[in-house]
Amino acid sequence: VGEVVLVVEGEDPGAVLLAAAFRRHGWQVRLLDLRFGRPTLDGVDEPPTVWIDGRPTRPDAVVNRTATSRLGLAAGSALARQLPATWSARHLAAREEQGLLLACFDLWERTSRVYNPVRTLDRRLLRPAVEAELRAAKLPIGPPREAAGRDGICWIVDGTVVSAATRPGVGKRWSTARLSPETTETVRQVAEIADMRLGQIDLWQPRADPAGTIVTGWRPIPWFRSFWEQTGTDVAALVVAAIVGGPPAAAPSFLAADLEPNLLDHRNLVRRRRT
Amino acid sequence: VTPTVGILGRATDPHAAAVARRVVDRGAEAVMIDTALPSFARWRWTDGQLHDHEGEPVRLDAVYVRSVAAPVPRHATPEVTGPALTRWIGEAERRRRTQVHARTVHAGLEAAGTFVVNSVDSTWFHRSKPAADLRLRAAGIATPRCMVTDDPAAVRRFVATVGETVRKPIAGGGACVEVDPEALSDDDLAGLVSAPTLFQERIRGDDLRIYLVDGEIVAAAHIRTTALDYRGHEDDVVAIEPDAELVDLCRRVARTLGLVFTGIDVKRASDGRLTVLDTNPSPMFLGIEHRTDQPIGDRLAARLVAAGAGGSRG
Repeated sequence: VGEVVLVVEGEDPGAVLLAAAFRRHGWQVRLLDLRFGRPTLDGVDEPPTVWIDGRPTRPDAVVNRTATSRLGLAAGSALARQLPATWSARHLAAREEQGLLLACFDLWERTSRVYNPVRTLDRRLLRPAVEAELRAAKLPIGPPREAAGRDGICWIVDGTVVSAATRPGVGKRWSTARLSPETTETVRQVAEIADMRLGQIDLWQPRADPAGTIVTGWRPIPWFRSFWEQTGTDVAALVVAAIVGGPPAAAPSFLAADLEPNLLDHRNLVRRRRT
Repeated sequence: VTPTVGILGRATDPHAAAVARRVVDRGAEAVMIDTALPSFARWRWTDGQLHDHEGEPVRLDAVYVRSVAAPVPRHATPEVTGPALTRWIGEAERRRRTQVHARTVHAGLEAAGTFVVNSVDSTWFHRSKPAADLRLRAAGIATPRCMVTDDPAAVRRFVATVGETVRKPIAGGGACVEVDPEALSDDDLAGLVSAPTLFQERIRGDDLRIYLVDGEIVAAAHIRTTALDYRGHEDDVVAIEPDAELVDLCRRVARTLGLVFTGIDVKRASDGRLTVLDTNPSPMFLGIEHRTDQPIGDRLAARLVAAGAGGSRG
């Protein structure tokens, strides 16, 4: 049985979907919600151990969905959750907490698989520098053009695209899609240069030139729920299957057979009531 | 062509200013990129080229990254609640973005092949001393056993295991203080709920401070003190000739953490055992230089100018 640590710092439906998928694979899920507690880093023995809620953990995988950064002051989200009432004490508390989290993530990078390391989040913040690297590698990166086209999105785990979706425009519904081999290769290279093991890559495809797909952004903390609701594809389950290394574990049947259609399309429910 | 060396930091910082002066003394040009000035926000990367706040392209052959620190926003009153808290957090986020901007310049220079002291990947350790310690330990280098926690029970467990214990801030900046083994109740440690703290086993011995530039020791000093934390309590600072074991240790530390320029604090126990206490990615050096007459800043400036002139990376 594997063990995964999910590190979150707020209401996070994406983390909930990941946790559910890990549980369906029989993995033990340890949740570290920084709003309610911090880890303890025990460096008495080698290798050191991280404790969560008073129990040691040796995770096979760690999912980092926090704004922890090596680049500067702690994020506003970290300042907001600190207990002291003075600005100076809050700042110090957030700074010390960040130092603890950096040490934990750095340790986990040596002893576990981290999705994603703090370094990856930092490279997202260093976007102009990373975009320059992407351009130097001749990868199509830039903002969506004004010409007619459609948005695309895909999720990648360890260099493999696990799902993709497209929508005809802002505010329109997402539907599942298949990426061309060329776009798949572009996405793989972007993830490699962005140092992103797990993430979401945003795409834009001009209608006049379907081969001219460009990358418009990347997110090391991917979103899942709205795509699941709109496309019926549980992307979080596909992501977890890729991490665990097996086929997606089946969702509970009552969810698929009963609840899911209602969640997917409220009109179905209305139609059934009418008939 | 006269090499141009950039100094990323604050013009008011004596260490940044000293390196700039010594770069100029060597016939090179020094460009101070003052991250504290509001105009710094207008420095940009465009088409793979760094541009200053007036939009002029800037060519740098080597860069010394002294600091990208932004001061924490203060508030008119010590307490922040309600709308004032929201405003304060917003201002802190703006300061954070300034720091990230400085790191973007830093990372861009590095990606462009400029000789940078030190790299983005090796300058973050000062934000987490335990991260550096545990990396060194994983590489087989002795560092103190530690516990980083806000849990009083964990502190009691640690003290019972290691004996003499000290505590210090995780991200540095504060003094190292002895932990009283008789004051470990939940009430005694109630302050931990505010912020986690780094607890370390106390290592007794001589305080040594070693400076390296590009793997070469440029200064070594024995700091004589009776205090637990020598900073501000130096009775005497004496230059020493490091032995082969100390040289090898310090080179391994710098290599493990990827540091071109560093100041390393080492404890030498009475039986000769060496333990690394701290590794600084941007160490202050003027005090040690002055008291021991060892040319730390000169050697750093020389390395920057040489790299700039040769177009080589370290």
